[in-house]
Amino acid sequence: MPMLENRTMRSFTTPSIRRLAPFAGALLCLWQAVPARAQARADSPISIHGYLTQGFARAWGNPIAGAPDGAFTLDYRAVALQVGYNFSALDKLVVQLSHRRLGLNILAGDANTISLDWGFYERRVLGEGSIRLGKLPMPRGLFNEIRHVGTALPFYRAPFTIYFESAETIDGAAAGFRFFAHEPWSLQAEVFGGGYQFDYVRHEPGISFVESIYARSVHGAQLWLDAPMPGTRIGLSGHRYRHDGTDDSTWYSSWQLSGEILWNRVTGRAEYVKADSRGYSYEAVQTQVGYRLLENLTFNVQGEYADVFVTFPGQELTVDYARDLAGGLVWSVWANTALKFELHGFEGHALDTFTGFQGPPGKSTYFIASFAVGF
Amino acid sequence: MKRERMLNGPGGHRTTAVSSGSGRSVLRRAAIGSFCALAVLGMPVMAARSNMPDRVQAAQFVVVVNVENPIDSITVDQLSRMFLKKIRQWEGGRAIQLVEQRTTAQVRRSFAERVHRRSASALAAYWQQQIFSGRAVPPPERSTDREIVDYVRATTDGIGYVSPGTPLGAGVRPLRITP
Repeated sequence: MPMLENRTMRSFTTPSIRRLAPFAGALLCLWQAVPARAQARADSPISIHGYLTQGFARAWGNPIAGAPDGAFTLDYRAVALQVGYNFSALDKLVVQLSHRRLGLNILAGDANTISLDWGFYERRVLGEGSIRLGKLPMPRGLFNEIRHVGTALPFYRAPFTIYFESAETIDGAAAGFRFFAHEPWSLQAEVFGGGYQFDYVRHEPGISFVESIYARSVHGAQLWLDAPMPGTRIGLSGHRYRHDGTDDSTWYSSWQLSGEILWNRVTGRAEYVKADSRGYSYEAVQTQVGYRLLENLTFNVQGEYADVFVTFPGQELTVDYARDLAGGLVWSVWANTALKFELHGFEGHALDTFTGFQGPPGKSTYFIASFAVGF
Repeated sequence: MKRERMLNGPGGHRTTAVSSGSGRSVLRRAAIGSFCALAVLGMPVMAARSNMPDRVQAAQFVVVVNVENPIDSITVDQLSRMFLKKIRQWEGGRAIQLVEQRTTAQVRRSFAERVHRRSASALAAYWQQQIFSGRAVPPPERSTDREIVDYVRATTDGIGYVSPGTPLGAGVRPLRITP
């Protein structure tokens, strides 16, 4: 069980970036080599892709999002390598390995660990449909399937209050189909089932550690309605599950509403999530607006607001979980690269260290600079 | 009266919850406000759709298909979905064979802005999303207009786009774009 104190010490005494250098170096070499072979690769049954995001983070007030208070960390990265193989026009196998660190955050991966992000087999069916089997990204919202891909995100990480640091993949199967594909309004529907591991931080007096719960009997669906205007869509997703260690009658549920407009200079996104279980519920909303100032320079703002509601007989209590307001710039230096600078102002209880919920919410201001590349 | 209870916070924290005054209504107002703001943001987007014919007619590209393809026109939305691999089949049921211009081609930038309504960098981000979600990889690229035309000529279900004035020759014809 990783302990916060140990991880904090390791973060500053043993820069794990050195140990991951060969992996990152190999990715960068591949990135350099790929353009020359781009045409050959595009027609090949084998596809190789990768991404690397390296960040610099610092917080003032309280440690948050892995950024230490009053100090900085470079132990802040996501790197992945994906290999796909098309057996035929209808069949493919995708395997993605990754390593991830988020400074002091003990949920975001162990040092030196390279883990299987996903590995699945996909079969195209009925023209506009597909079936996927294996360990696969859970179809949930705008960012779940790409939550660490720096070149695809307006900020360093996907909105924390919507996606957390866990529950990213599902062990099982998913089936999808696009209805009315040639009509002005088209509908992408996906159903999925299986199980997944949910990690969370448990705070005890003087120590914090990671615990895991396995969600089983997971079943859910996602719908995306594409508007006649390219880049405009609205989605609804939800799933139910049971936890190990609970009686079979206890179902937990989560559903999410998402909207997105990607239009030339302006982008807008909004998401709302609600999760319920016996005795408490969680609700969060996030909004992002981006404006392209120059050809390769975009300004983004993001607001997140999340509460936990605890129900007692005749009474409901509220925890101010998170209020995060952020602004940032994304500069696409070259194709498939992004240099980002972002500043967040945070108030709430979703800090990296246990602040005690009896008191007022904690505050923090944190800055992240990052460089992302993908191929 | 303050009451406490242990719970698993969905954000990954097992916490003790206490009342702090804010309620469900604030959060839901924020959610409703966010989606209303998104809708307001979308109004000029939808309004701009009325300008689509002019924009497409003035576009610096010509969409080309094989002469054996029975389709004689395509909407901008369909074209966008095809080149984003959201549509995988022609209406007749045959698999669409896309071919793309090279990343740095001016005609590709024009196509992205007028058909997808996205910048080249936004389109690159879209493909990064598709790749790393394991859903799709970008279409094969060709370096010149002539190579695009040759690909479409050799591929019955092929579709591509080239710069205006590119000689098409036998076996390839332009495809009319409608709003």
